[in-house]
Amino acid sequence: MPREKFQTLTEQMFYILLCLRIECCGMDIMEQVKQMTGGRVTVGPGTLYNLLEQFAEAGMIYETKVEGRRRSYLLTEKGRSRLEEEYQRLCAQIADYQRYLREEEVP
Amino acid sequence: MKLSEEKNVKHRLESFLLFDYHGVEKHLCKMAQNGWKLEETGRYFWKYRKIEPADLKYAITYVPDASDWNPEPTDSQLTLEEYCAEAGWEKIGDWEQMQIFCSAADNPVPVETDEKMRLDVIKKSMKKTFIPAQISVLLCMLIFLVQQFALSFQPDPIEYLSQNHTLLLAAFMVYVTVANLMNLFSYFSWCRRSEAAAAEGGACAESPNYQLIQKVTLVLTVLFVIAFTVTFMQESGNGAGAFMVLYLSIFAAVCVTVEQLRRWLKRSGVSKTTNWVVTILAAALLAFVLIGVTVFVSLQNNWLSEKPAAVYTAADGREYEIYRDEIPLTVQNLQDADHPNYSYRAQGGSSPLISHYDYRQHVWYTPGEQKLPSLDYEITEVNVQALYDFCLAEYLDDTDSKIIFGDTAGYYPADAAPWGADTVYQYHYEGDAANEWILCKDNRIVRLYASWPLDAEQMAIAGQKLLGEQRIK
Repeated sequence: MPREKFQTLTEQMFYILLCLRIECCGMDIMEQVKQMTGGRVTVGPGTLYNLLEQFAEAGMIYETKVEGRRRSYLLTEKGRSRLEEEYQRLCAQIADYQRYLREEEVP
Repeated sequence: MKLSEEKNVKHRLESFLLFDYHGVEKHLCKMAQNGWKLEETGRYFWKYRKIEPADLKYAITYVPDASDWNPEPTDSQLTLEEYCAEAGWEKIGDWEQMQIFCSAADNPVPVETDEKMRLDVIKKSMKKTFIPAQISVLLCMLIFLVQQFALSFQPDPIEYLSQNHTLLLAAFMVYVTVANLMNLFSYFSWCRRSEAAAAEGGACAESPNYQLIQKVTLVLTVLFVIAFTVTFMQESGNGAGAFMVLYLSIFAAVCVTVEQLRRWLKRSGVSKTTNWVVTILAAALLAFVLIGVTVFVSLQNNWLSEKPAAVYTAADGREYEIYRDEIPLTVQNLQDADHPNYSYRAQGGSSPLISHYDYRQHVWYTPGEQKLPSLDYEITEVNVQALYDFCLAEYLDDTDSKIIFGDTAGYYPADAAPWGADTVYQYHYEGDAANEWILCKDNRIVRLYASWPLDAEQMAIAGQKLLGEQRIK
């Protein structure tokens, strides 16, 4: 089930959804992710295509317009809340890191 | 396998497994390094064009709704193509769900950056074409093997095992079945290894040996066709060569016609389903015509039957065929009897497993004429000792006799001494001993039927002629 599939987002999923907070053409996402992450994360065109298909299928994004083969997408409420959940999960991870590792390092 | 080479273009017969993207990528990179760039894919032949040797990068991905039967690339294929073009990948061709891209850049962004997703898409794609195709071939082979067993082997296993062309056919079908099972096993094993690798953040499993299996199958297929044609021509009468030439020509014509029809329908914009149904129906119809024409023409020309030495017309006006084959035991060896219309016939074959020949000497009986003595016998030499008991059991099997003549009908042990045999059985029915014996000596089994009761002296001559040292032929 798509819901189960996206319970934890990979970095690529996370940044694709983040790009789609504003209306964005699929083709531009690869470049945007690269810029947002300083080249640390790259999304291949095959992976991007499949992820967009699956996000749309799961109701996390929707198609806003089609110009020729250029399809634009935007995050849905469901997608936005999923992104928020992922953010909370990452924050919790960071908080745990700081609480346990950093505090132990303080003399 | 290279099949044609012009100055700038080369066509190769490629035999990849559909899921083996590693194998295809590696092969295409190597071809480019050798100065050949893939230009066009096909169902069997891929076209390459001569280039300056280059380190081209190839990337393969899959689109589950793509198909060779679609009249046009699907929306998914076109969208993917655009995404790939944006990342510097040029679409070169496709084969079923497989999409092939090429890039001349030094370090292009990989087409697939999520191995788990790549694996999911491959699995989804394989369910559409690869697995059904493998299972279809497997079912066809199993139906063929069952049909061979039920219609050819079971009625006369000794004759079946003595024909090289039938053994070759069965062996090849078994090989194709095993090769198909290996293809399926390779795929599921690759999936399992790839799932484990992807779960740990690694890449899908490498697949180094699949091409080798495909190449071996291809070479074996060619060798089989040659060996089958040669043995069939040797074993199936004087016209077998013409039969095989006609059969293989029509078979090739059917294959080409069906493929051309599929392409024409595709070009005409016919839907995938219509194209598939029409092509399959045309293939079935043409195969039916192929078998019909071949059988009709071979029957008209008596290609698969021996030509008689003479034909004589009896008093009743009927025509009878007379053969003058050399046979090891004749009526004249046993008693004074001669007639110009005696027919001497020898038929059979010899394989590494069994040599088996049927012999017959007789005069066609016409009402009003005197009945002349006749002989009917078969000699089996079992070349593989393990098959001896099986063959003897086949000879002694009297199930049908018991049904027709009652429970006492069948073979009973008889005195072997007069024949010089190791063991002898005589056929009995309705309480009487018949003129039919089974003689066993060393690896040889003989079934002899004489039209008169043999005395001890005749048995000795028959035993000497039929169980002697010389190999049968």
